Amino acid sequence: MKDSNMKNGFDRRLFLRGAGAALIGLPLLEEFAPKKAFAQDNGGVPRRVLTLSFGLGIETKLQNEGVNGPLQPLMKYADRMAHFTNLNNDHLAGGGGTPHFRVGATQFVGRPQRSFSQAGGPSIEQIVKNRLHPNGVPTVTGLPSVSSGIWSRTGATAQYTRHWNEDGSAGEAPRRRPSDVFERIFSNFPRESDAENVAAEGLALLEQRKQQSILDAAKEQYQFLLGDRSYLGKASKDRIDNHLQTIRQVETRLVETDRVGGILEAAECALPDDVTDPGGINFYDAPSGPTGGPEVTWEDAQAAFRGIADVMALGISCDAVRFGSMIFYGAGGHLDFQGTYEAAEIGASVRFSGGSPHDNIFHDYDEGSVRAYQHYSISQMVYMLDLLDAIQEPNGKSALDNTLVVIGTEYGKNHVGEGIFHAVLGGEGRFRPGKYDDEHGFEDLYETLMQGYGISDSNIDGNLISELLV
Amino acid sequence: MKKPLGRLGFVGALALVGCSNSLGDAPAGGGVTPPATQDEGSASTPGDTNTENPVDTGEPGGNSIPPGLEGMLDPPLAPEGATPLASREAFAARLTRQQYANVIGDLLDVELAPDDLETIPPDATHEDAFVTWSGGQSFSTSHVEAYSALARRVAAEVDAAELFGAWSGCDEQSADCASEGIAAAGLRLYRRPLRTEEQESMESLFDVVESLDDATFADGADAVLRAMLQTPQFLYRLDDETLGTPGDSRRTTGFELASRLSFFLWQSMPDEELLALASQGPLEEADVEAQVERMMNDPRVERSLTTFWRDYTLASLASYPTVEPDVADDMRRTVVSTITRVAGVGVDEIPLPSLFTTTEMVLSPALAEMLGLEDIGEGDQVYDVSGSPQRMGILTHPGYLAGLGSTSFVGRGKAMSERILCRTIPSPPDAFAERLSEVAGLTNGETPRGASEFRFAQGSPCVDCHRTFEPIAMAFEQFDLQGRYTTEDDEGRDLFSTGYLQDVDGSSLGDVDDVTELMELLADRVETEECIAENLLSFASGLKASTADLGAIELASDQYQEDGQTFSGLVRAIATSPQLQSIKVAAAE
Repeated sequence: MKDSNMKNGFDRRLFLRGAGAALIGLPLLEEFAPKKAFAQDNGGVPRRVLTLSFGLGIETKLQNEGVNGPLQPLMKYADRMAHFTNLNNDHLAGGGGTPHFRVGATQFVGRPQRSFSQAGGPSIEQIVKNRLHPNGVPTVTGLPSVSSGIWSRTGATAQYTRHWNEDGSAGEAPRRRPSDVFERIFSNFPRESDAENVAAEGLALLEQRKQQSILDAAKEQYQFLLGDRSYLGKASKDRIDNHLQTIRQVETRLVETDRVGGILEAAECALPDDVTDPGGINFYDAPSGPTGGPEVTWEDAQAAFRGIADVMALGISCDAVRFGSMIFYGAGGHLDFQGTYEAAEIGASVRFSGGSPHDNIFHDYDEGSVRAYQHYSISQMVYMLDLLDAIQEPNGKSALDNTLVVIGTEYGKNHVGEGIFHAVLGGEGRFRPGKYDDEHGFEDLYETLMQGYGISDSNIDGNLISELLV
Repeated sequence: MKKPLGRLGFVGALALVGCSNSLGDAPAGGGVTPPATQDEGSASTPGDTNTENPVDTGEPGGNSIPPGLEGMLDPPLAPEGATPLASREAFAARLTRQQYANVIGDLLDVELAPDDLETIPPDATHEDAFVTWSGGQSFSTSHVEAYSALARRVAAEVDAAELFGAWSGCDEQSADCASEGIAAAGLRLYRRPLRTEEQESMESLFDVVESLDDATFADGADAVLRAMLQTPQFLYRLDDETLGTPGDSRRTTGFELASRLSFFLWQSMPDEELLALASQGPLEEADVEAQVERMMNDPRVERSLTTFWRDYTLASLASYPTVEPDVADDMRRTVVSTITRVAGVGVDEIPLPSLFTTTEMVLSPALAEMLGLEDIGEGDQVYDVSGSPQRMGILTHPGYLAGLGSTSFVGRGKAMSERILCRTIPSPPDAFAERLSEVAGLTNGETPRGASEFRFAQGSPCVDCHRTFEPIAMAFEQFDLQGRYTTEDDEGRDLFSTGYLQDVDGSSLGDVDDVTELMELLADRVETEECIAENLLSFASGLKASTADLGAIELASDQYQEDGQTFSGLVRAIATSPQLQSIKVAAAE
């Protein structure tokens, strides 16, 4: 098929394919520029959104205990966070499944489930990501986002994932092993030796070009099925469109790995050779299922979560992660904690004796145990905040200041979708710290956060909380 | 590509299916007869690609089917009685892991290792979903990454150029042969002839890659294969949802039905014979019946049978939390093989209702010991469990009971009512959340029956719902979390075997003294048989069957009765049912 006329006969489409990654990115120069040159409106620091979720809720009364209650670990950030004490999601809890599924799918979404295990729309970190970077996140690996955390043995996606795609379908299941999170973030992250290989071998240029053309051709088929000539109905198109959007995210990696400059720059980030998973934990590989759960001491669960947090923070410091979600147990999940957790600072303790916290602590609703358990949960959230706050960035602020971090849970008291806790930190100073006791729906807060980032077409359909915006 | 491609692609496809060397297993009579509107001469000889009369591919918004192809893709009007499944939305079902592996193996002879396959995220995200249900599928970047890596991995193991040549019968390294090879690959990978746009796109890719420095014809073919393996037409089972009047029903084309049959019966793509038959147009009733018989006598049917029963028994997602991993594997495997040895194809079948009363179970030595049975040999063996207390029917297999992961009448009752009786158990209203919590706390530590009695004592509205699904579990109280028989719990409290079966309105359908009586009651219920049919129809169609599909189920059940109430009869009935041969045209956007 190759003949003398072929190479002179390319039309624009073919030329772009054949020319490879750099030219494909031509109209998107800002997106693909070296990482320190973009996002200049934030002092050269990339824009990030991270959601942190813990399960089972803290009722307003306990929130108001401040340093004497379960929020005690978080109180050192009190003057840097917007603390919402009274959100509700009752009116959003539709779409089938148990209450746990229904409310789980509204968290960080702000819309009712579309159907069982399908949210009403994307989660907020995905909205920001897709609006800012419609052609892929311009990190050196192009990694779109990371979902991680501690969960186990639930039968419905909405109980554990907080990552929802544009069409409301479930995104990644959270990775539970720190080593898996490390692999997810850094498997394609160039190291110094990679840079040497790039220079020495030209990184198999033919294969790179070929791969890019292959992706283009595959993508064209998705576009065909979404276009005027498509033979699909709307529901099937939605599914295909979701697939295409995801391809676009992955595609960016090829562009970035073709940039030697980017590789050299990224190689400056020192990485460990590998990450060891805390031992003694049997829930890592437990499949989802209807009931029952593996046993784990609270110390081991904490070690696993903090191991994940360490890796996530490393990913942020290396600019390998910009968007993500982390979960520390979801309502209705089944992870059977063991041991006794002492929250000495607030004079509470909880004895885990098998069975899930959901069943054993919240169904019974022993307030002392609830206080201690949520002190334990909040401690994990704060561990991540502390890591982010320790990362100093080029604009003179911490990664916590520069990252929109939204901490949330599903319920208020027990299974009631009122009086729900959320906290907003960082966000580049776009949001006003303070305690917000007025009642608002989830959708009001999320809509306001999106507006704070200049996103007016999120379709969350909430009312603006104007006092939150700076 | 210098030549107009629309006609090339289309003709190439016909040339492929008409090529005498490419259809070794084609039906007697010479393989494929091109559609009446097609120039027959163009369909018989490789390389006979009429490039002088390019086809107008139409304006945007027009019909993208190339002229002549309508004979293969345009369906006739729906036949009398055709009723597609009501829950027609989102048929775009992605190939399951197993289907992906089977297609790769069947077509390309590349065997994917479990580690390779597990790079694709799990199929079902819903605890009681069949893996084939499109509604239970999620999607993430992990899918994209996996499909990309697998395409590369698969292509590395084959010589795509050689394959294209073998499939098309055109083995020169020329532009024409590249086009025919692409058409031939498309016919197989997309399970139908390529449309004009699809052919053009792949030819364009071929040209670009072949034109890169140091690239060859083989690189072009390799790129096309890898690209096709990542396109939606390969990864999803797609029908033409726009042909016909929006909202109406139509009959499947030959290719659409061929895919439905093959993915139902083989969990894989149509083979050469089926593709050749499909290329002649919509399949006639006699053809369908003949193909179903042929396919059911093919060893590939085992894939579907095993998958169906694995999902039916909930063994797919069961994690068996209370047993060692080896025993869990035994449970998962033997609960399925207990069924497939008597409810499959090519085995000595028993009537399906007898699944609920059988006293023969496949067990591993570890499971036999757990049940107190004398070891009768290494490996899995068929045990007579009639001497074991309360042990009768597939629902008393330890692999089934342990897979439920609960001894609560709520957990067991809901799972059994939904899967065995196909009843819909609504979620508790949000308004009851606090009350549910309170009751759960008050019953914590009770025996299953004690907890159930407390719930029932609460009266309306709790009892209105719980009476529709808890009673079926009552007779199982003497089976513990691992499915072992015991008359008292860990605290020495008595457990009982009495119970009853209830109707959908909560009324009793009969009292039972123990599980064996319950099993006999279930075996006698048409509802139980129809539920298997409903589940099988769901599994076959990729859509969860609903009450609106009962017509199909009754039809299937009639056929199944005629065939002696065997599972193979049920499979045959559904495979040949009008419901599998009908498509609901999408509503206008």
